[in-house]
Amino acid sequence: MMRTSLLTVAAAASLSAGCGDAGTDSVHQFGAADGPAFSATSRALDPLGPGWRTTAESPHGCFVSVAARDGAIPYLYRRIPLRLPTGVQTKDGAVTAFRYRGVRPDGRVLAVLNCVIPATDRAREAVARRFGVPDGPEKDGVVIQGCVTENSRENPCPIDPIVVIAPPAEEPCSNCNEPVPPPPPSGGGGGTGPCSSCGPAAPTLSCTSGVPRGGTGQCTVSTGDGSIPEVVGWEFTDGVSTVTQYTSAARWRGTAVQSGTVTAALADGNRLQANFGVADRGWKWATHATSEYGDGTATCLNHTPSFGPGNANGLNLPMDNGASDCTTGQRMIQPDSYAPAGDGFTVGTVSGGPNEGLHYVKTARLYLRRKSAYNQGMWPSAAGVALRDEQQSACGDWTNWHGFMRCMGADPDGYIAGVRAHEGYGTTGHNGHFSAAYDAVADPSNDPMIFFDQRVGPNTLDLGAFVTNTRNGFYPRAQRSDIATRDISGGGTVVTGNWSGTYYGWSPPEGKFLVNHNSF
Amino acid sequence: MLLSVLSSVPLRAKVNRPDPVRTWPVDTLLVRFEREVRVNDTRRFASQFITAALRLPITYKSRQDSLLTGLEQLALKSVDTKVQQAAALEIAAAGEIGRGPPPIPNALPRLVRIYRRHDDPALRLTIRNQMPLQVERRAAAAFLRSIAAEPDTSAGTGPHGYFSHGDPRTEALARLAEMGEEGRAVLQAMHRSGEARSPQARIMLDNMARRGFPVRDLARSQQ
Repeated sequence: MMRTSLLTVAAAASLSAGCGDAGTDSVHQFGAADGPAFSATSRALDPLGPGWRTTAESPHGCFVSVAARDGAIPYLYRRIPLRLPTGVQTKDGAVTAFRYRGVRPDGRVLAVLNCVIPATDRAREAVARRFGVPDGPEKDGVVIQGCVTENSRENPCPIDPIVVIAPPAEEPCSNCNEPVPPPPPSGGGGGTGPCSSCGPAAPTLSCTSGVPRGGTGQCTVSTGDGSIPEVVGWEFTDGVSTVTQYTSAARWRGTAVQSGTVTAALADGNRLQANFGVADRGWKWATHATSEYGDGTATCLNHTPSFGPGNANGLNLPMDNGASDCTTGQRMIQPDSYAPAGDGFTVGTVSGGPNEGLHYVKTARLYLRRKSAYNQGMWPSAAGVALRDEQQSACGDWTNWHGFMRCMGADPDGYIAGVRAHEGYGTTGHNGHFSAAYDAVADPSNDPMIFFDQRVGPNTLDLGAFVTNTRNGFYPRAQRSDIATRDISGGGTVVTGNWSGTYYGWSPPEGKFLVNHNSF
Repeated sequence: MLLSVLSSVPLRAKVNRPDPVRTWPVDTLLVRFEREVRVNDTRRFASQFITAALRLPITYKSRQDSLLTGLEQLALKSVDTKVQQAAALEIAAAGEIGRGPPPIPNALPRLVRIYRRHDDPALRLTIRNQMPLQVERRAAAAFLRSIAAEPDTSAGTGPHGYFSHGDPRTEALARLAEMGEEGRAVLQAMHRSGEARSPQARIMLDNMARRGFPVRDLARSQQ
């Protein structure tokens, strides 16, 4: 029922534009007050009848007559060129007749649509969609009758032939024979219809560009002279999602999340196109995430430095660990999205406008918050151990690790500085655990904030799949931070080169320090 | 009147196009998926189609099986680590608790096969990370337990000693601690039995025991 109305809307709107270019091609039977009539013979449409002549430049078109509402003129008439994509046309240019009419119960014809269209199913569908026919009984008992015929005597149309009757144009244009201006360049501009040099100004389509994702974007058809544009529908596509809205509104507006092409379908059959541009919000880890490092703020290690189990002299830990909690194993980037409550992002679905139904990431909040713990047994003030044998002879009865390292000519302060660098920013600013994790997550090719910023889901998918897939895209990016921060012994390659030298470690079973070369 | 009434009612409609989720050939989806991951396409359309296809009702089981088999092959044979990880993540998502339709059974054995046949540390980390979310919970916990019990032949020197970042044993224990009561039971059993063969796993289990085996449950919070 709605579709049928579009026939009326489209035809009436196109007729109201004023400058009908009916002059040369139409069949005029002035004074016909009772509606479009039918010619007596099929010769009227042979080939496709008088007034059906088409040109190479405009091979397809429609002749429309619509009952006038005010009754002063029984029927308004207009010829509407059809500009159809080449994909719906035949290679040899074959055409067919497409004829429909709406008839009231009392027999009065409300509208007649006579078209010459490419002889393909896709063309029939496209034209039917454009004019909204046929779609069963109309409101108030109006019946849609019609057919598509190959113009063959063997395949006659039941209402063949329809001849459009039209009154003379109300306000003939004096300069309608001027050449139709060429179509505008694609991308961002608008389009013009035929007969742009008279009557209302040719409508143009303009869309916003550069709207940050999540902002409001819009497309507007305007005529430039204040007249009401003749829009019958809108379409957006990005190659994956297609959004269509049938409305006469001259503006299409909504949350913008995805760039694409917007098409405005006009009542006269013209289609205007423009780019609908959406820009990234500029989310980056460096500026939109939290990175925080607390150097040495944990105190969970306190033992005489050694080689054996439990010998860590430094640890890089989650910031939220308790002061005495040396537990490792938490992923570097938090929230880690391994549970809904742990998602570092929220999503949304656009509720109207060109991007209606598309999904996107509305907000993202992530952090890399780490701290380090150092073995207090390394400090010069740490408790000592009893030495014996040659170590006792060399360094005294009682000393701590720091004192013993100095006694043996090693460099305990250099070692401690190396440990600090190793856990934090490294000797180069990039080879410590924290800096390695940061660099990985702030790398533009991996940055999860950039990923979240740019994520858009098609309108054909449900929000749940979009969320799952967004998590799946986030995991490897966050994980790259875990991998980058690995020690050499854990398969890492970045966190190294912070210290190298002789290291003495306490061996409780043997009651003495053992020496080894160490690097990290 | 009719005109004014109807023209005030905007109609919205989606154009009928082939639905990639249900109709695109599996090979086409996989090829596009691989390309998207390789070029770091953040829109990930094919990936989203695969995710959606793996959420279809059971009537699409054969299509889902074909997709999972293709993803497993990508995880095993792709030369691009990103593709390997992305493929493993799609398989893991199919077997995840809390997803819309019932999880697809037998996703876990595919992940275990990939883990055992592949020694890439990043891919292995990806799979370990997904274990707490798997619907086949008991098998997932057993798998993590076997990793946590592995021996470590490294020297254990350096500022971290045995607590190296990237150690699969301690990471497996951390993932078990994200599996609620099932994880806690496994950790307690490992602590009792002494089956952990690496010093770092034993120390971490002792530490957990001192703190009463604190756990959280990621999968339950998905439901």
